[in-house]
Amino acid sequence: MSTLTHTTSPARPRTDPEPAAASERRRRTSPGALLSKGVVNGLLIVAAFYTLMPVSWLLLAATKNPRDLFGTSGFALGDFNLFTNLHHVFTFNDGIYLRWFGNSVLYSVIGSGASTFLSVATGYAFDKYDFKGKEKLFAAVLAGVLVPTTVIQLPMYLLATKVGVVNTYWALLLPALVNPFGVYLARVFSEGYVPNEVLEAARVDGAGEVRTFAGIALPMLAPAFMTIFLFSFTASWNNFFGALVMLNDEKLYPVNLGLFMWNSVTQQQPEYYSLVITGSLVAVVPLIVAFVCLQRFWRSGLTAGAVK
Amino acid sequence: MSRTSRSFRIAATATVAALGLLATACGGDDGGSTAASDGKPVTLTYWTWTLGAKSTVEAFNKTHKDIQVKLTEIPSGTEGYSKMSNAVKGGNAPDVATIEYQMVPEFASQGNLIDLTKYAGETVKSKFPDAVQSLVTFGGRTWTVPYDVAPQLYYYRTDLFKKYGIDVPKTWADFKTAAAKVKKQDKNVRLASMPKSDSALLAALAWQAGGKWFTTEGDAWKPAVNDAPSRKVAAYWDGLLQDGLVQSYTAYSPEETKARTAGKTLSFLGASWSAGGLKTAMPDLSGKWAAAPMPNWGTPATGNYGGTSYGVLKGSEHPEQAAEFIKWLTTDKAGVEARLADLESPSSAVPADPAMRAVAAAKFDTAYLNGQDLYQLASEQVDAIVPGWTWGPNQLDVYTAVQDATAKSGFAGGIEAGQKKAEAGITERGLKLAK
Repeated sequence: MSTLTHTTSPARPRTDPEPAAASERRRRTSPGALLSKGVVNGLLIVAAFYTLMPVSWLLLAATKNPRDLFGTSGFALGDFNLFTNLHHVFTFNDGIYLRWFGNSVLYSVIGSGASTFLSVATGYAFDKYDFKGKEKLFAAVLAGVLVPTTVIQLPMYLLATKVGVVNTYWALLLPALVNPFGVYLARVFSEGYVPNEVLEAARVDGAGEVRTFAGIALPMLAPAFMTIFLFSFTASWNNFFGALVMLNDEKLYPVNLGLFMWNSVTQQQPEYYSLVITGSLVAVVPLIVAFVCLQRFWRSGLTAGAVK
Repeated sequence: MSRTSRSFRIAATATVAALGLLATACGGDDGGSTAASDGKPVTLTYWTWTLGAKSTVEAFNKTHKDIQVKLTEIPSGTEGYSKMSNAVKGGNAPDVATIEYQMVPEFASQGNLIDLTKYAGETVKSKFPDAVQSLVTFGGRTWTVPYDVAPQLYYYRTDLFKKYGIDVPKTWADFKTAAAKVKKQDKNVRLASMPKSDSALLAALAWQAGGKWFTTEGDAWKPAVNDAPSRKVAAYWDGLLQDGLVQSYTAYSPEETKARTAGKTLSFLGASWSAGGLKTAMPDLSGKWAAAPMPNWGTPATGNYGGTSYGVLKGSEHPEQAAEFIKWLTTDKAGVEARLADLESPSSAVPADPAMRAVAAAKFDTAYLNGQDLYQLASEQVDAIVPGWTWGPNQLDVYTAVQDATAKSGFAGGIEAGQKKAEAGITERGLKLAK
């Protein structure tokens, strides 16, 4: 939802600062401008509707008992049953949902944290140091961005089998460490945020390379860190296929895979529907929280390097 | 996935080869450590998505000292099967897995299944009806052991049929007349919904009409998704849809259920297992539903709509013990009872082994269907299943092709696309195509 408010600002037509005032007045009067404003706003309303419809359906559906879920129209209110549904979700099958939820948090927070740290360090190294074959290596990283994750999933699985980490937490945490797009972003950020002069000053003052990175560059890269972290947080939270292939033990499942499993028996047992719906609603909450809490970093991060 | 499977394999081989060294260094303790010869129990791994699996495994472990089963619940459908075939490639496959009938040839021809003829061939031959045997036996070998059989059944609203003055249709001609009669009386109500999204239902209807989507000639496959009976079925439903005599909701969608709840859909084409979910989805309509044989083309016949079996995946080191567990699941009273024990509303699936049907029927609450003996009806319908049907070696792709084309150009286009896909898929997989 918060992304929606962001897209509004770049979508509005921007003009150069100098004739801004004049064109502002002209735009308000000319019918062509009015039309384009109307079109833009109209599109935004359609987009908002399109985004909010499923969410509001989910919200409403989570409050219904099975009878109303199938008996009433999608956007009508039924008997208020949200707390019963929540109770059911959290206690069903010895509270396996909570365990899944915890797993998702673990995969997303720990995995993304470590992966982000590695990406930032790598990107920083690519930017600030000169070494043999640097650009070739970086080209390899960029090539890595282009490879779809689904294509490497099976090789990764076979690899994990050989190493013996299939069906453990490591099966999802280790592959998550590699994030070529994060490295690319980190390099761009490092170019924009960390002036070489500052590093030189630090070196002159006698700081070692590690200390320069950890004490000086890393704080300057905080917005970069948050941006990459948010990217990989959402990616791991939604990483369904990886979990499906790698994990066999129900206790290790992240929440999306668990919900998918419940959903796959609804044909025969419709009572699973309310479990799936309420469970999905709960599963969206962390993403919303992450976006609300981290969006200011995210916003400042996105515009980094845009203006020189 | 199948389209990219070759590049998958190449990439996989390359990666594994490159890491061979690492692998030999780290590849640990899998293999051979759980031998039965030293008196310790054999541990089997078991993957399924079927309901009631937990209580089944608990009951088995309690009564069997020499075999212990470890359960893993996996998702059903395409995802579950790709997980299984990946596991076979990776050497992590479970010993026992649930394989639907429609997937048995595909899994067997890909080399994912262990030939069970030696271990369970006799059981399958002696205990299961012919129509079911042909689903798990081909090339003269037994690949899996059937659990349930799913004859199509026709479910209808008794009260509304009375209100609109309709008799339960016996033939598809009756069905069409009834559909027209309903529409004439109320523009917003239809006799039934025919989803375009459920290729399995279309297949079952073609099966009932005498179609045979796949046959084998020696070791060659002969697909006939667009054979004459299937074309007849496709044209029939395309006609009904064109005349607006039936609805077409997405199968198993909330909208479909809603239309039934609201009395806008008076009947539906289901199978033996459909009754299990009625009570939860439509609790207010208790006593208002009844089941009947599927309308037919003149002579009583039915298709099989769904149904599961159990197989042993390649790589299992204990096929003998696995077969024993499977036999217990499918043909032992305790196994069938355990599967239905912990469910809030036990499934109405009909065990393929006739001796087990009474066991399952005892668990099923008939109050919702006004006391109707669903199992009796379904058992009779098992005998009406047209024998000789075989599923294809690339069934999932064929389903997808049928579904995609049906959405665009109706069922007639769907089966044409299915036939093309079947032929292409068989050659692509290096299997022989009969001329």
